[in-house]
Amino acid sequence: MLGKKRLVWAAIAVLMIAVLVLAACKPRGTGAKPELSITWFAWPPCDALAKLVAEYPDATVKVNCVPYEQWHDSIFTDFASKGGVDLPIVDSQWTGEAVTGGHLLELTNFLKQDTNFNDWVPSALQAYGEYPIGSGHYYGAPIMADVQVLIYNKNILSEYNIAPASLTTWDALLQAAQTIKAGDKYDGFVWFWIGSGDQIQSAWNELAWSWGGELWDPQTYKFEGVVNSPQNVAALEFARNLYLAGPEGAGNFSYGEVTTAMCDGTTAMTAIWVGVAAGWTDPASCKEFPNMGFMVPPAGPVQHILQLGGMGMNVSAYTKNKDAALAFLKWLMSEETQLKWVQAGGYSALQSVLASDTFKNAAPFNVAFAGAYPLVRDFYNLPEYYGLMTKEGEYLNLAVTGQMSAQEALDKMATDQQAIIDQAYPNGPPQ
Amino acid sequence: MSVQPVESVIPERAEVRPRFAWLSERALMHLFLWPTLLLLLFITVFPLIWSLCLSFTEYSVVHDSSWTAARWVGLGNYSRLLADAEFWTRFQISASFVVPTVLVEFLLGFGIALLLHRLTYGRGFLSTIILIPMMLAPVVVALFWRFMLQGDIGIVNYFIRDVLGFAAVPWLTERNWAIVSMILVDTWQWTPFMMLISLAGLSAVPKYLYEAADVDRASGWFKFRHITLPLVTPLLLIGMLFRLMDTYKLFELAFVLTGGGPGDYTKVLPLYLYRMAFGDFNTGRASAVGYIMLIVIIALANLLIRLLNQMKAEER
Amino acid sequence: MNNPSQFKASSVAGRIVFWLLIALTLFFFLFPLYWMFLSSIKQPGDVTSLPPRFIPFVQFKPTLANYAAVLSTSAMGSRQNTFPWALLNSVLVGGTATVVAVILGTLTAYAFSRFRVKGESDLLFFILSTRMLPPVVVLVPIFLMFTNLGLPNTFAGITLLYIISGLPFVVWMMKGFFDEIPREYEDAAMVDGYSRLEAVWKIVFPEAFPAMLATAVFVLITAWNEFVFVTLLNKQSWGTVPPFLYQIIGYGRTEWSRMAAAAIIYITPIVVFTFVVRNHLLRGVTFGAVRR
Repeated sequence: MLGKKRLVWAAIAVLMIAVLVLAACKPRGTGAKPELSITWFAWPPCDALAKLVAEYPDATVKVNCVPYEQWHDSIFTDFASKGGVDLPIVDSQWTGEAVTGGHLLELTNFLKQDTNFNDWVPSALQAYGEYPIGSGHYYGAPIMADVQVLIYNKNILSEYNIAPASLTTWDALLQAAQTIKAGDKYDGFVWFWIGSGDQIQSAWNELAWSWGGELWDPQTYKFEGVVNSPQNVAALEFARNLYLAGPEGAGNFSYGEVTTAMCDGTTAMTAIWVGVAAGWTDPASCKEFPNMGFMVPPAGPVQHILQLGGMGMNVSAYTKNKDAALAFLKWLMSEETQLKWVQAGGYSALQSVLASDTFKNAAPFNVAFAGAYPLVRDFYNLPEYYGLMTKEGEYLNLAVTGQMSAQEALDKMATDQQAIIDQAYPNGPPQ
Repeated sequence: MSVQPVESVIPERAEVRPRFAWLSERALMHLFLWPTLLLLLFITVFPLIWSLCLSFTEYSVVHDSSWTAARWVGLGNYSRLLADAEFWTRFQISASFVVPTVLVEFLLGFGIALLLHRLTYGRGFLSTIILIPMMLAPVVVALFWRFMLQGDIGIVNYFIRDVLGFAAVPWLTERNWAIVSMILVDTWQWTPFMMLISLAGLSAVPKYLYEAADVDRASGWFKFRHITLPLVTPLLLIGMLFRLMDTYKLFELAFVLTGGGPGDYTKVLPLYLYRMAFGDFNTGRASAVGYIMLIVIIALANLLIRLLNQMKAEER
Repeated sequence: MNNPSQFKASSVAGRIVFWLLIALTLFFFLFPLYWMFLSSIKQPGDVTSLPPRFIPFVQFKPTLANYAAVLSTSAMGSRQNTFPWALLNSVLVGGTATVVAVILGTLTAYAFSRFRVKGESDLLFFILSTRMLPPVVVLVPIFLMFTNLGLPNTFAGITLLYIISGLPFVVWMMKGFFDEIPREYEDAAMVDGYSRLEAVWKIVFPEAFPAMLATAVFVLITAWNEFVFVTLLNKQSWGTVPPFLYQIIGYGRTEWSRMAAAAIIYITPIVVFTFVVRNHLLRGVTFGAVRR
């Protein structure tokens, strides 16, 4: 090896060592203020939250916005290592798991004493953190309220002489969608029909409930006979017709494809979470936004119920800064901060905030949101929820895309779900 | 590379005192082996034992608050899994993805290498370009193909429906097409890997063997079968081995492209395992699934390696 | 270097078929890349429009806004990272891991090839089997292990993990390569007075270097695109690009144009690296042509 080559290698080595040393010696922030961390997933409200909490004077609060796919893992691996995040935001359906594992602090007293307990929308408080349901024990403070609103393209509707005000029932909406679809120019109604995650379930649950059906019997923990009731079959057949009135190949549509369909103006209507729709407000990325109108989603023949979305902020049982965390939570849940939150793009579950003009003017869909949110209901937050929900998604997707009949899909779903529950609770429901 | 006489390779040297002669062969061997082995042991021992123990228990990393809550069930998880029809269906679905994919990648990769091998110039440039799909992040590839295979607005169906006049293909929404879509995307991304390995093998076959065969006026097919194939196959087998292991545990593709759908027709084993471990948090049973998967792939890999060694023995 | 013909291609028909096949191959692999590139220079509205727009300037107005947006993306939340910083992290982590894995693995492969190792085939199989583990199974235990060792959010932790992931591939590939190089080269050198170590350094390494490059490309690509572990381990600092990709992909709406731009930016270093060493790559993976 000649001297020159050796010199080059030496230079590279020195450079690498220098960089590594610099990196290792990155200054770490120190200070008297306690440090708190929050974990949420990466969507615009997370960014908004990060900016909001920067204002908190009594602690340094860091918000980790992890990719959606990693949201669950990130929090639960922290739990497994008995440390990590102080204030995880746990999706409402995971509450059961987290509580039975002893990973969350109970917040019942906190909510009653340090927040406006009577100002919360009751179903929100229940869904975002009560476990078991009806027990009065709460583990979460509502941080993000969400519900689906009906979004329609004003131009397409007027082209077919359909008045938005007429879309108060699902039947009317289906008719409108079919009319538009028959015109061969646009698609009528698009939804997130994909079976993975909780997409098609959140969509169809609204139909099932509005048709008078149920997902289970919470007293007896029975699924057979409840899941495949005639009302649910009717609701599923209706969903199939809705599917046909939309774009081809929508069987694997997730929020992204629905967004494309609406923002490009190829589809007339959808019902979608406000948290997702919040990303449509920039006309540069969503061409059709200026032409969109918003209203409360329609009612079914029997009832008017919508699927609840959103989640609560919880306190990890392993946090080393319990007092600081609770003090921060008190500040965050105060009406004053919640008003700032909705202005920044968040959504609150405080009734007074929802009724305020600040909220109604903060975004175009907020009036519809305020009308829709009181109608929400959630599905079970049992620890077995994940397995149950997976089965629901698979069978619903097959039925809606026409690869299985509605009756058969629901029969199979009922059998499979009952098997899961029977295995988990061999002695019947817990007392 | 042509044949070089041994002497010309050794650099000239004035004196003949060896340096580092104190390092015996044995010492050198240990020095070369131990760092790697230690590192690999470090990363495997704890996880494997941890998972193995857990697979004999009914335990959930999150439902149960500590190790002591794990209930010993012996082979309960395993027997329940092996008796579960759905578990076997997962194997079937995985096989319907893994087997065609590895075969297609092998044939296509080898075929393309054969083509490129005959080029006089531009070979380096073209093979680099064809390698690009392999460099993309798997999630990006899956997402982009999901976009391209979209029923309505996808570019692929645009060609099929509007340019060629056939009916649009339900790539991602119909059960059989969904598996085909997965095979298509994986082939697109990883055939270049097999191609590079095949090209390597082809370039290694010494020219004089062909020249000798030409003197005997052997046919093209004869040369291919008796010279090329035997010398290239060992490398191809190693390539296939790695592709087999990787497609068997491939998870992002199913997760992003189809979500396991429609229904559960593309829920391959890794996706099933992921949902059990991180959706259901049924850690005990998930560990059992992981172990069964491991045993199967060890058996398959063993077969391939045995084949490989057999070919090497024949070569000598 | 044209091989003495194995298939008759001197006929015109044969040549046409040959070039047709090459063209089809190129189309299959390159068209999606071209489409991705097009998406990256389109305005978001043009990306999904039908009929599709293929030709810039003629059918749509190209823009560099997507690239600008990606390069100025900062991590959501309180993490101080920006995309360029993450790119730097990727280079440091991926580069270091690749270099170390290739060097260590090559030495190990050499040992297996040249020395009589007890239990060689078992050891080799063990090394291979570490690549068979489904990541999901080892995710939690590895996370626990690393947390107990204080490795999260460090450079060392994630680099160590990537080194270990790359070793099996390097060992197997390089052993295959060394098995094809005759021992006479080193033996002759040692007869001439070099020690084993010197023989390796002066003779074997230069021969092996191109093959090491080829292996390095594969190892680098794997470390470059790894996503699961880096997201879980390096939440606060030393994050690489893949978690950013997920963030750019977004929840709800996928900005295809921005995702395409991010993907293209991210593969550029690797493409450049491969292109620069391409001749070595092909020459290299010609596993020694000397036959006994």
